[in-house]
Amino acid sequence: MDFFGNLSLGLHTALSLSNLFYCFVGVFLGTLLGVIPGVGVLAAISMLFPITFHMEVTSALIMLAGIWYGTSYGGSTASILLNVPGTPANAVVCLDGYPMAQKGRGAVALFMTTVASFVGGSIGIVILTLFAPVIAQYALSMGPAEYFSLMLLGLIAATGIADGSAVKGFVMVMLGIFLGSIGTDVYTGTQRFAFGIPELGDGISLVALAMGVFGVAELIISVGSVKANRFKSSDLTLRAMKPTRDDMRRSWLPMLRGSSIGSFFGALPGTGPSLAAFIAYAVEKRSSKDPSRFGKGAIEGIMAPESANNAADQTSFIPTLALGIPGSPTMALMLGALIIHGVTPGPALMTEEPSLFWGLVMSFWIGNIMLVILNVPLIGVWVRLLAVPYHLLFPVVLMFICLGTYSVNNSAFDVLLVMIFGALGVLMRKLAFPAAPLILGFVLGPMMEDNFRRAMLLSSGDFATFINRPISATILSIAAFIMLWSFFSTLKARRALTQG
Amino acid sequence: MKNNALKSIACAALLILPAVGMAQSYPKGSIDFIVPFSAGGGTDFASRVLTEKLSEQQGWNFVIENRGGAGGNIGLSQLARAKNDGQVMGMGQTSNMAINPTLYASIPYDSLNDFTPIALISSQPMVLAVNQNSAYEDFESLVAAARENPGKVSMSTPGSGTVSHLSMEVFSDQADVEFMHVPYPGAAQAVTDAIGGHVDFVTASLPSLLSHIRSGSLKALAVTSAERNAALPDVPSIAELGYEGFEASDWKAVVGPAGLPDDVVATFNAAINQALQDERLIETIESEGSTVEGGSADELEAYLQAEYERWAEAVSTSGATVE
Repeated sequence: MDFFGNLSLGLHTALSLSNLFYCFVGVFLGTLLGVIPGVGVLAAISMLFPITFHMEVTSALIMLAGIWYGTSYGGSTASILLNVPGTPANAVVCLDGYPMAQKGRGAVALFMTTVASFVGGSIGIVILTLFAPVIAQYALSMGPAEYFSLMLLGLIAATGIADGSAVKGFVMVMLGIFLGSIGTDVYTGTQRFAFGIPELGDGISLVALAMGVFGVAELIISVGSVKANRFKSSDLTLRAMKPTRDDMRRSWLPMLRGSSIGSFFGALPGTGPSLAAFIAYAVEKRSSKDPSRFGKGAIEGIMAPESANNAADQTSFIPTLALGIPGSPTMALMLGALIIHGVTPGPALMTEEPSLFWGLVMSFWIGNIMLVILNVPLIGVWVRLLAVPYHLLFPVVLMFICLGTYSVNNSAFDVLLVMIFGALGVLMRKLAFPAAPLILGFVLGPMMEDNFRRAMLLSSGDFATFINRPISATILSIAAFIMLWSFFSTLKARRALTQG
Repeated sequence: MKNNALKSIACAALLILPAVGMAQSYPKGSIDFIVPFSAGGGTDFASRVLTEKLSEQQGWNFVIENRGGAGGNIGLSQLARAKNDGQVMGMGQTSNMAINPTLYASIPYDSLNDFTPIALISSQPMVLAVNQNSAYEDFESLVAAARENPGKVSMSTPGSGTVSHLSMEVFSDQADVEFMHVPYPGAAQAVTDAIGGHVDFVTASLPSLLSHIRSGSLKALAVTSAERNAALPDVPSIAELGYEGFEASDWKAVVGPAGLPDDVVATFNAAINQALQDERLIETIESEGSTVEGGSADELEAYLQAEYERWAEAVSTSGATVE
């Protein structure tokens, strides 16, 4: 069947009444779970997974996928309004989203992140539709050496993600790497820093860490600094949502850059929306003419990560559908749903089950449009949440954080962890240590170590493997270029300062 | 009028209830079924397929509780501590019942004494598979290459101390060869790097490889079960290739807390064996590459003991530990 035939077959499948219904259920649940801090997509999908046994396989996947990309839409809401991220992938949006809300531009931020989500999602879908098999093959050529180089590039690009002291940022990256190293060593099975606690043997959950240092810390800090009226009724009008011309002008490029970064990391197995969002933010700040605006409500700082995580949501279906390789535990669940229905995921899926494959892809479009229609009117409702007094709102938020963290592994230990990280977050905030580098170090550190050791093992300890392999060498030279460039630009800035 | 109708429904209900109570002393209400891994994995799959059939045939209610972590140890220790009235059951398997007790320096339960064996459910072989463009045509050429260059032929596995890793340690010992073991955190990444050609071959359980073997991106060289597997009839077993007696499989068994009443064990075992006769269930389990087992509770007890000893030896041969 030709390409347009496939598209129309897909549309036909996705537009059937039952599939439209399940698509709506998925994106609606996704938005809702995204808005509630802590309840992540993995927990939501594992809870709904058993229901899919009794559903038609295409409908089941359409619904699960809707939850997956729906959470990214909703996830930024709490980041912007409360400084409490809905999911780890939206944590970085706190940095500029919350300052925007404090300036009374919360509605603009919510509207613009919906736009960014839609643009990012759409670009991701286009890439998925047109290039899935090609990209999937390319992703396979990335071995341990390439992954290590890429993670190194990510870490270098992301230095300077936070404001203030570079030393403090560095300390936080190191602390993140340390926290990431807790758990069972993949190579020897040795337990690192687990102190005989079986739960620590699996490492610290990213949800517990992100919810703790961003969410719980914010809740604790706000106690005692209660501001009576945090919104004016004028914040709720349709006009309040309208971005200024300056906002529009500043948003285009970050959205495009964010979408490409997101599409790239989404398609790589093992990396995903959270990493994509952090890197997109870092790149935006680095390429900005005036990085000092970041952290104070720069619109670029919400547009780039929100388009990145939504693009990554879509392209993460590339390895899953085109190769049958799950890039994340959530994607493994989606594959599980396919296998339970007797569908073999893999390169043959597109030709053997065209109505499933194209129906699913087309449902992504429909789902994204539904999300925009769903989210824009909801902005007014969310902003109204701020009218709820702190002493009523925050206990509820805290309860949801605990519920959400618990639901990831059904583990009470993770709830304890989120509280410990909340306390750590407060300490960091008081001493002006930034949280974003901590998360980055936590995500990138273990991946770097794992892939470095694997590359060394496979090359029998020959370091040249990183420069002998062309893709790895290219990535490393980009990393070297960024280092040199930032070195010289710092030097230049210093000279300008002394001469001025 | 409306009141009368309600009254007659209530009376009817009262009349029926005692009858139900007499016919069914077990189970009392819903049964908690602990799955020591997250939803969507192989153990979860088997548990759901089984409990679904049990509900259908016996009218029992199950609440599946996914309690993952520490290679299944956390979920099973919860089961070991549960009340032994038959209202809490769980799915044990090779790693947490037979391997981890020796592999881990400390483990929160005694796998031979803290559980009541109910019935063996299913087993699946490990498969050795190479990339579609690999130079290794068959199992013999792979072993010959490893013999010629000890420690140079690389093998990915889902992790250190997994059934896949240990079964290859047993094989290496028996065949006197040495592979370069490259452990991954989980089957998905181990398989991905084998498809990408970054390692020479992958050893993992059949369900995690089957779709890639069917699609042609991986080529299966051998299975670790004593016999060939129904899903891969053309792939020889290692035993039939001249390594007599070699057998390794990853099994799943329903167990309850220690000291379950005999009648509960008998009822549950009978119900499971009935469920395992169901053709649709057999078809579902075989479609992912597993074999349906079944049998008495005593047979399972003897099997657990034998497997425990066998894997304990494999762990000490491999030198792997989790401290």
